[in-house]
Amino acid sequence: MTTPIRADAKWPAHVLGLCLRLAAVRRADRSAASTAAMPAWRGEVWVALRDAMVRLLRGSRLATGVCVDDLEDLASAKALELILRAEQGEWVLEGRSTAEFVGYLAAVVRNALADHGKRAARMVSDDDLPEEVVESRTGMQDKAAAGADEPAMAREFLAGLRECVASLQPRARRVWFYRVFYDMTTRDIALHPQVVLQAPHVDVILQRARDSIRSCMQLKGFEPQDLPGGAFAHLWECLQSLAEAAGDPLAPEVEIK
Amino acid sequence: MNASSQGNHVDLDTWLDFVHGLLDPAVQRRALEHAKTCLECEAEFRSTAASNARARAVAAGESAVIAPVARPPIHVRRLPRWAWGAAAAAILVVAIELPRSNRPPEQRPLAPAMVLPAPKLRGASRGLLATTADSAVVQGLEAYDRGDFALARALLSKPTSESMELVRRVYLGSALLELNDAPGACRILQTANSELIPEPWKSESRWNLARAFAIAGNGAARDSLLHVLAAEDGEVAARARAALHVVPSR
Repeated sequence: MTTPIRADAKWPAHVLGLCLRLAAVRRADRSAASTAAMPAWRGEVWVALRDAMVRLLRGSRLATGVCVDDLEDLASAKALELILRAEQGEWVLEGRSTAEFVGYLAAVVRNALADHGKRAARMVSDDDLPEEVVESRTGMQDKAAAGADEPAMAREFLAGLRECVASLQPRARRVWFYRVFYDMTTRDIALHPQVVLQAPHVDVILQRARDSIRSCMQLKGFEPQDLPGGAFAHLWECLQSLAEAAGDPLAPEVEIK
Repeated sequence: MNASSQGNHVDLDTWLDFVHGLLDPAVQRRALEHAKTCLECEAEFRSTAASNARARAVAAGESAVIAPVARPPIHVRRLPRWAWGAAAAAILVVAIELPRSNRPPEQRPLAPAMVLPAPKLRGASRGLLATTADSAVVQGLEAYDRGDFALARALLSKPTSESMELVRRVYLGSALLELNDAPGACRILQTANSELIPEPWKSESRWNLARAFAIAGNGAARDSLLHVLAAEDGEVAARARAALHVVPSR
């Protein structure tokens, strides 16, 4: 039913370890009759568990036809529910193998998708939406696939884009990347721990970054919307090296004390 | 391609390990090089990385607003305005942990919150009746609507199915507050992930949390949350702005 987890995948043990540590800390807190204080890295545990749920959801055949937003909503809710249960001692993880842990998560995912399927049967499907709404959901992928696909042209384009992006300030680079490649909302970008800005400020930075990249690319003879395939991976690598040089990597390692 | 791939493609597990920084550098490099030339794998990578970034934003927003946070760093620093979101989390912690003698002396309680509107349970009632626990929630919500908060508290105190758990917490927190159990309301409302709550319950439950902080004497936490609410749009935001105007901050 679910795409099998690769035997040497590292995330199951990683997520199980995080959940175990959180449960242990909360258990110690309860026995010490402490108040509402919780570890600052609780959010990181939720992110890791949610990512695991998303992976299992995306690998499930039952998820066929379920939009990404719905999958992420399901994963968010289930991850929160599991964390609360672990903290309350209702989800006992001690002594569980990673295989048992993943098996349990997979069962939760199956049930969540089954429930979602029942609810979705009562909701409006894409087939019932106006054509332009459906197009807007898929347009970006089409654009990327139909862009400049001549290898030499694409290489030139990406080299130019790297230069233009590198000329931005680090924060503007990150904001622009999050919007263009991650499709993140202004609010989410503003809240992201590596941005932390007021939402209107994000919009200002984003607009300036877009203008800057558009001008820069036009000077090189390109239109920035002609993103060729591979642009994301190239840009990720470029931004990661720039961010690491600045000591602020794109995907920081979780530090749990 | 390598041990971390299926056939010629990089699999979902590799991208998840990649995003969480769990891959060996050499494997990470190979995966990235492959994604540059494989649209399918690039799309998987992008989807995984984007999902992770969105989750981090949600988690950060949650901790800056209402989620329980770390033990106090003991001292309070004045942070620049742009970093107030992060500061709010630290302020909340310090406020919760400060002894009563260190709290600001003048803290007027906020105006009473509106009774929360009845939940939208469109089409969900069939599912709600499926288990005893969920039936208790339905009855609890009805009791809440009638203003029978003691009964609502009793009926909503038991954890329920995942689909109704957030609803239960929002209404239980509100019922506890109406019964003058502000510390209990704080505890339960802080465990309701506001990102997952639709409006108007999201705003109203956070308004109730601000009220609970105020009644419990946590002025700093109250002010932090009010500033968050005041920066948003809508009726609760206007209420928060008015409260901030009336209630002097620290």
